[in-house]
Amino acid sequence: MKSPVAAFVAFFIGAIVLAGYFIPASPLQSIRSSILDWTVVLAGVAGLVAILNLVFGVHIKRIREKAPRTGFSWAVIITFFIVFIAGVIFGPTHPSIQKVVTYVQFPVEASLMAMLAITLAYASLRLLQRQRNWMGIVFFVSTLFFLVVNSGVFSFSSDVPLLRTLVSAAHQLPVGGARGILLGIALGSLATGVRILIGADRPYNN
Amino acid sequence: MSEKICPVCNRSNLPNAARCWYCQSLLDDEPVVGEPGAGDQEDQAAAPEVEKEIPDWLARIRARKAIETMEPSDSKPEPPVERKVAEIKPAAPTPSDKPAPSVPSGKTGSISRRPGVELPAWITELEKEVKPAEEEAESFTPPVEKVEDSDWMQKLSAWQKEDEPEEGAAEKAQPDTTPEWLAEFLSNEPPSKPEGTSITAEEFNAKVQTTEPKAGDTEPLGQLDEAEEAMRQDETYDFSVEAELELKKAEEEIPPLDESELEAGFTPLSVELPSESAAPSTKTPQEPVEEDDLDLTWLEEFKQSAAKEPPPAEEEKQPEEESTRPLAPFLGVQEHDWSTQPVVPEEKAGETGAGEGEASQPELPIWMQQLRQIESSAPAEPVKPEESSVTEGPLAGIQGALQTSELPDLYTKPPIYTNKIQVTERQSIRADLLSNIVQEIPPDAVAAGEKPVAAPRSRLMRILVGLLILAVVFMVLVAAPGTSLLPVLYPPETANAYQLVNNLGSDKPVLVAADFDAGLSGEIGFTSQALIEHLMLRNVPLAFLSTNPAGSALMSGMLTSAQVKVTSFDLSTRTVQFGYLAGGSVALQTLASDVRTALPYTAELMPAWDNALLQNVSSLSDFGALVVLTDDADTGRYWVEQVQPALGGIPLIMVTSAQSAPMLLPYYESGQVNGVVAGMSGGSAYEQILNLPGQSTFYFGAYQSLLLVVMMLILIGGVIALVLPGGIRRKA
Repeated sequence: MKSPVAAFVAFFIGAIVLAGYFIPASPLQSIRSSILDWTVVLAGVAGLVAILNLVFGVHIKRIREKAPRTGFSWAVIITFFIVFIAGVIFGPTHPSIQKVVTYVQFPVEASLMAMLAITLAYASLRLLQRQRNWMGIVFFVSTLFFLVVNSGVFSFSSDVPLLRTLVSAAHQLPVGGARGILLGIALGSLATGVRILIGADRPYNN
Repeated sequence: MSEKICPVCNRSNLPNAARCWYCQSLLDDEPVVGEPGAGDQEDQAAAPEVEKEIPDWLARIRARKAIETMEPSDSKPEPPVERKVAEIKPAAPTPSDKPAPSVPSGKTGSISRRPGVELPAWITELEKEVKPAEEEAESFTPPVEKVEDSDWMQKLSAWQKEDEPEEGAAEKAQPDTTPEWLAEFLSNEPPSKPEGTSITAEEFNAKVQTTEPKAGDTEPLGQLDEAEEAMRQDETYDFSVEAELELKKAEEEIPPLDESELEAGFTPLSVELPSESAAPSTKTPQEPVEEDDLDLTWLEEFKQSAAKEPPPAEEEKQPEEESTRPLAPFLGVQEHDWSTQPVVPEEKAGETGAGEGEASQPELPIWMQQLRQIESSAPAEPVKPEESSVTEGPLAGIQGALQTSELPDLYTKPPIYTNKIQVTERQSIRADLLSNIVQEIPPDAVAAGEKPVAAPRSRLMRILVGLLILAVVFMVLVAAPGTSLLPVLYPPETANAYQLVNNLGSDKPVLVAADFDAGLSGEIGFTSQALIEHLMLRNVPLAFLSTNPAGSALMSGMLTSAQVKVTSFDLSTRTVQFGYLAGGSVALQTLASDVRTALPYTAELMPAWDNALLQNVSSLSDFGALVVLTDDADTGRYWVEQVQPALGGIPLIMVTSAQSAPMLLPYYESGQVNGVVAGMSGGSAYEQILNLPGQSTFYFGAYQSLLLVVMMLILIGGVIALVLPGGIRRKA
């Protein structure tokens, strides 16, 4: 795909979609909507291709090559085909398919998050053992402070005006930092978009 | 068979050998064993041939030998004489008008005169001139100046200044009083000699011998031969008288040395003579020469001593080495302090000067003092064993052989330098710390993709932390369910969300976007439950979709749970499920631009817009509100950036996790988001506002307890890390 045609197509499509935002002409809007629909379809197909590659390109290949620990590959393939066939037959809104998500996927992912919470708690216990410098101490103090603030122990602060003001200010501190991050992300996204449009970056040209 | 016996090592040699084959000593004078007298004849016959090859000094010795053989055999043997240099007395100058035949220089010693031998006329005249000169010399005492200053250099310069006029006067009165042999000796004298070493008469003779003219010198060999021939012809000639005059002349030039100067640091040229040589030295030139003492046995001893002396080449090396030796600072630390050298004891001086009676301490001549200066400033040299001092073993008598018994003293053991690293205790601790850090995370293992194995202690700590968290959660839920510190003041974003939902009409459906994963569906479910129940209570039609494949199914489960509390709300008739919306942010842009195109079908694959609930909806602005349930700040940002501009004024409400809330609250501050319910605290606040206790309030007590426990763990861990040093913490 390292051809000027790909770069031209990318530039042309991007220019049309961008112009559709600023020019309220119906032909441009129609073209932009059609292109976005194609994109959504292509994204869905890309997901399907990824699933097929996972099943046939990875796990079936492992079984064929008699790689070690092929039992997990067998489990993935069997589960995939059962759910896929069940979903095609019963539909995604069938209670049986809903139970697959509710009683299988949800507990698994929730358990992983619980383990992550314990790991983070243990990591925070050894916070200053690795980072015994100025920034480490600042991070240590801020962590304790916001844990206390968000735990709700200052619920009585409504009766103390000064404390209430301080707690409100403490709640606003993360917002100020996040706003700066968001502004940086927006400027970065804009710069990245412009570079793609002018052909400086070609992520599609692999 | 004839052979020669070496006088040094007593070994036999060939009769025609000039030197001992073993020790290289001279054998010419030794008689041939087995054929007496034959050697002499052979020597005489071979003399003309060999004479050109032999050195000059040997030729002179042979001449003495010839003179000796001409003397009568009844002469008394004279013991060997060794004279100190310090004892040299000033001698009367030799008359210049009657120059004596040249006497071999260095032939010092007491010279006896044979009885019955008449002296020539010029010698008797010379004796008459010598006697008044001796009396004058004895009566002469150089002025002694007592200098308080300890600097010997100043004293030396003062002494020289006072002495110079006298010397100049003497030179005027008696011009050119220095004998020729002494002038040569002064010009060729080695600059220094190690302090404290004694100069014997043999050494002195050997030194003088080196100053004799060599083959290429100006003194022709023919003159010497003529003198020897004259001596042979004139048997009455005795050069001992002339030598005596030379000695007296030398004694005149040496001024007496003052004792005070010696104590102040002047060390006389310490000459230690062996005891056996002290007795003969008592025969001073002042004594009347007895005719019985006239003997030339000293010549044999001289030959023996000449044989013992090292070769002249070796003698000449010593001054060069001493001259090239670096001089140490004068006042520096010297291993050998010349000023502390013992002065010649009185007994020794009396012993050596016995018979003199009026012997005085001699003063060093200028040339000797110059030598002394160099000696005093030169660094001390370790005592070296004398060459040719081997007296035992197979190397006995061989010159230059090293004595094995003195080798351990000559060579010392070299210092041993170890290559072990000398580190302090602090450096060792730091090295151990660095080693532990490297071992804890092996970079090679990480680079190779190996799974790092946690230490048993770390694994135990993780288990303990997990058990503690679970214990706290279950203890609160079992012992005091629903007990929590609920906020009295509600967050404004939550209150606004409640107000917006409370203002919704039942004619317009509300679009609910479930963009969250199954892992965080618990927190999102607790947080959004009150809001969804509020919508159900308001009997608002609900149309929900998800940009996450599992979101739609999870949302269905949440609605089912909420419907348990709000039984009046019919899910089958009041909800529309669009299912999964693929495409991410692009799909959201499509949704914002054309909702019917983006969501053509329901999750049951039925035409979505044929549903009665969606008949009046052609765009997003036709919905009553947009509620986004998300656990990801980026997903919430997409909704704000892509969809919010197309909402057309309908409220946007965010239900988010506590983790992503800080990133989405700025949109609430800017007005792009109209209401936010963030985390379990927000859900509890909403429940309190709604006055409908739910799961968020029930679990909020356990959540608060868990936060306090984690906070205590972090605090304890941080204090331990700050207080305890690294080494103790590692060992613990």
